[in-house]
Amino acid sequence: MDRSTSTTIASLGLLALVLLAWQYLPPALDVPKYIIPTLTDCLAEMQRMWLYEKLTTHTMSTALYTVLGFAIGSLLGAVLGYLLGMSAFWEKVLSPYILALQIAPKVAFAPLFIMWFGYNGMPKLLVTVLIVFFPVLVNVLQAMRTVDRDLVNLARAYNLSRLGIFWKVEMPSTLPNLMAGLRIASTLAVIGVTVGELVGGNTGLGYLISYGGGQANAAMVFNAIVLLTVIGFVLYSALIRIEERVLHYLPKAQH
Amino acid sequence: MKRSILNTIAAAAVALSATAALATEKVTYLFPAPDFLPAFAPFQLAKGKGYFDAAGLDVTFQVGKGGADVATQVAVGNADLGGGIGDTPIIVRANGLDIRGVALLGGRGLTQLAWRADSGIAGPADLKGKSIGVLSFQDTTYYNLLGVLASVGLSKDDVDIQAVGPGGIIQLSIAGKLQAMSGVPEWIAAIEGAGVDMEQMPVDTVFPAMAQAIIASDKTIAERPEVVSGFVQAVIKAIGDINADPAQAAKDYVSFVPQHSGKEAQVEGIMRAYSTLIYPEGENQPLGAFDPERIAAVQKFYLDSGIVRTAVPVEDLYTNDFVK
Repeated sequence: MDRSTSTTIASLGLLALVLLAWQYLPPALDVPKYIIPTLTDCLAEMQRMWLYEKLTTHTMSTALYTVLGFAIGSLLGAVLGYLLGMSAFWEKVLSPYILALQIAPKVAFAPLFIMWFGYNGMPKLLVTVLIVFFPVLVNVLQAMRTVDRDLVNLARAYNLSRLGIFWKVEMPSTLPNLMAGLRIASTLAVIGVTVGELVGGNTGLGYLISYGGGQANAAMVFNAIVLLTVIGFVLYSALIRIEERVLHYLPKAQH
Repeated sequence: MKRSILNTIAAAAVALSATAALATEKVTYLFPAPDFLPAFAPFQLAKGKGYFDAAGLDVTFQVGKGGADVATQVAVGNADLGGGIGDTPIIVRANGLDIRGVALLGGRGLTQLAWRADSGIAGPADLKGKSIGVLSFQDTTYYNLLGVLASVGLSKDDVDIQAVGPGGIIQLSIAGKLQAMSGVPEWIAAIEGAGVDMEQMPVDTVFPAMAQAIIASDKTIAERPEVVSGFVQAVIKAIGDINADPAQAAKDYVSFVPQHSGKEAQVEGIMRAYSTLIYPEGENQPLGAFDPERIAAVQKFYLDSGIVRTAVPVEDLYTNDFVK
């Protein structure tokens, strides 16, 4: 108890220090406000964005596409991971192509999708789905390959069907890896949406970054980045909660 | 023999040092859009015809993402001079960028609002709900569009504005995905060249939006005034050439910018359009000069419609010192 209060105090102390430095250092060092806006500049700009720039609409739009892209991408990744995990043959056949697509920088596809689908929500959704897809797929696939063979043999000894083996043995043992993949993917989902919005489109926090950057309104850009971080953080926290419920039975290291 | 060799060497040394004394100043000029666009003809002509060299300037062209982005780069010092519109300093100086216009390339406004003849639009009020293309959200033509919308009580939420780049504006307008656009005259010509009838309206009929401007930071103006002056005079001279003989100017321009080879007639048409629509001098304003009353009127317009929130003293937004 003592330890955790002292770490909290140290953490908060550090935060206070950083906030003070943010507020007073830039003017002291003659840094103009279009390079580093102070804390009060950013707060004032946040209020202005709320009143005049439909901040809620843009934030909700980005949040929606992040969650949607994450859900679709991870579902596809998990399903494909399980399917390929069950079939060693197809996994070997498709592996090189999956690797190639994984290495290709997904955000570079954004302009291409804009050409294909136009200036609407599709390009950023697709980029997000692609970005989220691979970590989940790779994690699930890896987990499927390392399922405890003894458990599978035991299940077979009890005459469990192939599907039964999947649901009762393989799927539960891959859950920790799946959750790990989902956590990685959640932080990446925000990137996909932001890049999509920066490259084209007129809604979302990425658009506000582009618009604010264009008029050297650094405070607007700072605020948009903060809000993007908040969205990523909320998604990540939700996943941690889900993981705690689903994997409650796993012993964890005591900190 | 030895003497004459020594004399020759001495003479060569003097000649070399003399040319070194005439060394040119390096200058970077940042365009708000790809540099082969006909809107930038005066600059390409000034470079190709040697007006910059004659002023002792070694000019390198670079491309930015729009007028407001250019202003930021010039303020920070990443470029010595840059291009925007006369309105640009009004929008960005309020955010702490110490830049101002040093030359205004024409007495009329640059930005044209245009729409497909078959879109059912008759004027700005009909833009509600329509898709409008702009170069980028970081360009002053976007702010000009916001100004026009504000004049008829519309905001950017009442329309669908897309930033599609110069190629996108032309292609998407031809394809019908955009019903209207806010941009420079030559894009309208390109769309009509593909068989799509357009109607257009200069933005300065709604509020006195300005023409292209050359932008410099207060620091450059103070420390390198001869560079600014030489550059401005060279560009103004090139505009004079365009006004005097658009046909010849078009030929010269195409020879310097090979992307347009084979399109001399089109380029000539564009230059004539600029000569009539944009370059004509304002009342009592020699070519290149700013009219402080016009700047004040434009600033008031942007403030009243909420597009700009802070007013900056008008005398900080321009200087006519480099325009004789």
